[in-house]
Amino acid sequence: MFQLRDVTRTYGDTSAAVHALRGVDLDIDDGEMLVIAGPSGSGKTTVLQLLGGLDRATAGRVCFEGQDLGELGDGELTRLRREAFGFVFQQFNLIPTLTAAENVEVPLAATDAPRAEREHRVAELLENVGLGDRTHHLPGQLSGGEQQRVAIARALANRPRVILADEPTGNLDSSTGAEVLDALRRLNRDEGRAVVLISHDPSIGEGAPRLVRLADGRVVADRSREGTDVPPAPRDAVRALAEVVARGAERGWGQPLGEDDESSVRRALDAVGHTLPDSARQAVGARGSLTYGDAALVAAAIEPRVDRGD
Amino acid sequence: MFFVHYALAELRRRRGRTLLTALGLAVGVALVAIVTALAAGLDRAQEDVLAPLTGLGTDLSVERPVRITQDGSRFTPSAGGANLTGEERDLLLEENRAAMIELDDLGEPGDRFETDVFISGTQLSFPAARVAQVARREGVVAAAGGLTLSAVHLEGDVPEAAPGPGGDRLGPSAVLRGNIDFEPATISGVDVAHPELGAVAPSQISNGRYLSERRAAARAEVILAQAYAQRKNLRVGDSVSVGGEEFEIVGLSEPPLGGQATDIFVELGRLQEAAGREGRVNVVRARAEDASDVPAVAEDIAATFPGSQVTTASELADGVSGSLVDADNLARSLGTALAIIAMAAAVLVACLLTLSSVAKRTRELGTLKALGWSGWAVVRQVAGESLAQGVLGGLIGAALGVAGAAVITAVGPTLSASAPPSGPPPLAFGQGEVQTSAEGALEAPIDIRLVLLAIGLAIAGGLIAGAVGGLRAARLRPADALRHIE
Ligand SMILES: Nc1ncnc2c1ncn2[C@@H]1O[C@H](COP(=O)(O)OP(=O)(O)O)[C@@H](O)[C@H]1O
Ligand SMILES: [Mg+2]
Repeated sequence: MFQLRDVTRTYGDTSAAVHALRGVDLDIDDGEMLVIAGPSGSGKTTVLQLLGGLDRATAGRVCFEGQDLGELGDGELTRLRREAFGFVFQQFNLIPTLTAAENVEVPLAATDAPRAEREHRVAELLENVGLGDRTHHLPGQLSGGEQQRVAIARALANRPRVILADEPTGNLDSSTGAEVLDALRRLNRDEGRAVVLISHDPSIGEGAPRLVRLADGRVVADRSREGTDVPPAPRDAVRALAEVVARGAERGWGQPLGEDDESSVRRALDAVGHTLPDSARQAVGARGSLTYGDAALVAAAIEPRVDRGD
Repeated sequence: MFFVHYALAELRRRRGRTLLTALGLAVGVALVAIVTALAAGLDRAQEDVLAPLTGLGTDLSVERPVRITQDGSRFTPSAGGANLTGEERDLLLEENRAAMIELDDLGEPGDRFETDVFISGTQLSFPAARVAQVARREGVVAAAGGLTLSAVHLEGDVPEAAPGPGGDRLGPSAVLRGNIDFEPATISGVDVAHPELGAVAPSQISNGRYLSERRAAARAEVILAQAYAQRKNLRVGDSVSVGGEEFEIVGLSEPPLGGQATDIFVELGRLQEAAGREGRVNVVRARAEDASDVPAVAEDIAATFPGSQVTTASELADGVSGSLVDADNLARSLGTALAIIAMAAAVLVACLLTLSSVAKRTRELGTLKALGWSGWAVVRQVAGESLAQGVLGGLIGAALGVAGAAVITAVGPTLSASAPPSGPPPLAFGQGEVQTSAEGALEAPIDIRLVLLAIGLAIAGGLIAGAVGGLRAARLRPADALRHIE
């Protein structure tokens, strides 16, 4: 469905450039459910916006169903958003002056679907998210969980092939968050829609069939459920790496590693390195002398692979 | 229509902003409407006030004043015509010969006498053939001759002849010396075939009627200026003696604003006979085919008639002054400026409010784009809301404008206009300078076109604001819009 190849996204010009993505490779299959995790500022939202055609890559290719989105005009991207993508946002982004039903109707208003059909579809969608009795409520009259369910119903209005959800549970307490997640999982399982879900909640990543970890604009881990047979990293290597990262926090991420620290990092890399995605391995390996920043990157990549059994 | 419903919901929720924008536009267009209505009312008042006072049908008048060699100095008889060329002096003397009465002709010193003389002052007479000449000029529809003279009635005892040159004539000094009453009046001869080009026009008649259309019938008739009749205590139907002959008063007239302050109007032929000026006139009044032709026609006539002075109606109107004219000028300059500034300010406010609304709704508009709305649909949404505010502002503004105009009409301050006299300047025996004036009540008429204009302006303002806001919304990149923190 999606192929990202060496995608970079740089904000601003040379003097104050922010490198949000520094070469991302990612493949997403039809009907796949995928969680993108990573610390704040690692580029998760940027990836999602590139997938959804809301933004354009600075370099590299973002392909959807074989089309390079970078080569499409604004009108064609609009058409894709209208026909193939459904968005769910952390802040729900419901239109406050419109009722639940009208909010769900917004994507349909951009199509030429007849009125009766639209109304029928809206009622059905709200029924499916359990809000059949809230159709005439304004967003302000709904709880956070209800609002996000309205937003999910809205994202489904145009029968999208993929749902792009940016931290949909970020503004919800854990139990309502779980309900919303459940709704997204069902969509994936029962209706076969692909779901790309951003979250920095580790528990969500745990249960996901596939987890892509971003750090500093790079994919540092891409674990699918099938890949859990990768041997866990040796615990002493991980412990040594944690100490290196702690020192890095004191000395500054840009500082070169001390000799002992560098051998700790290389040992950890050797232990798990073959499971790192190409881009992370290249980034770390390309430079002769490693920095504490690189140590943090490796630590982030190794972390999900740590054997939690002990 | 989803987007209409959405726009209305948006306007209802942001009620304060909606009303502020609409009211701004409303005040702007109400001012435009009131100023426009006021200007129309002032125009109408000016027309109403001036119409009976100016020779309605006359676009230009041609006279032949005495040419004074030294610019700016005014001819006075006492100066003996020092500033005149010999030729001009001869013409002037010829014109006013009647005033040089030999004492011998009146009788023995001490005898009672009574006589009437007609003098032209400084407006020289010329052959009536000039009238036909003017009438033939291109662009002239009609022309009529007129004769305006000072008729002086003298009555008293014949004085002794005084020593020195001219001492044996009845000059000013003799009048002052002796026991003589004199009474000047201005008299105009009217060509009854062209009443609208006469010194008095039918529309000026305030009482009674105009001179008869047939010359023969008109010969015995006279029209008196209201003020003159009042002074003399004369009424329609009375008879009056002019130049020793009897006339019947058929009508009273209001003075023309900026026209000649004439007291007595009679049939032209009759006056020519009485004044010994058969076949002569001293003014030609003409009407042009088109108001825009007037300056060219005036130039043409002046060129073909040596010594003539051509005055156009618009030059006369320029001389009109008074509160009416002041108000009209004020409405036109200050009022228009005020209305334009108010309108511009209203549009500016509407634009700024729309821009701030777009800025506040960045996330919302970005969401619409993310949900598959095209840039055009988002622009339509923003512009549609501004347009609705414009319509609302237009309706409120039209109502305000109508109300404001109604108040002005109800209060209806009285305005006046006045004009300096034209015609022969006062000559011997001091003819009074009359400042003609008129009054009218102010109205501010509102018609449906004005209401539509107001609404249209407000809608245009709303559209401008919508275009500005829409442009801004169109430039929002959805990615940035979604990052926007409210
Ligand atoms: N419009 C922008 N202009 C400049 N920098 C931006 C912009 N959008 C995002 N960034 C920067 O790009 C990096 C990645 O951002 P983002 O994709 O939002 O990260 P995440 O969603 O993982 O928190 C951050 O450092 C962020 O500050
Ligand atoms: Mg984010």
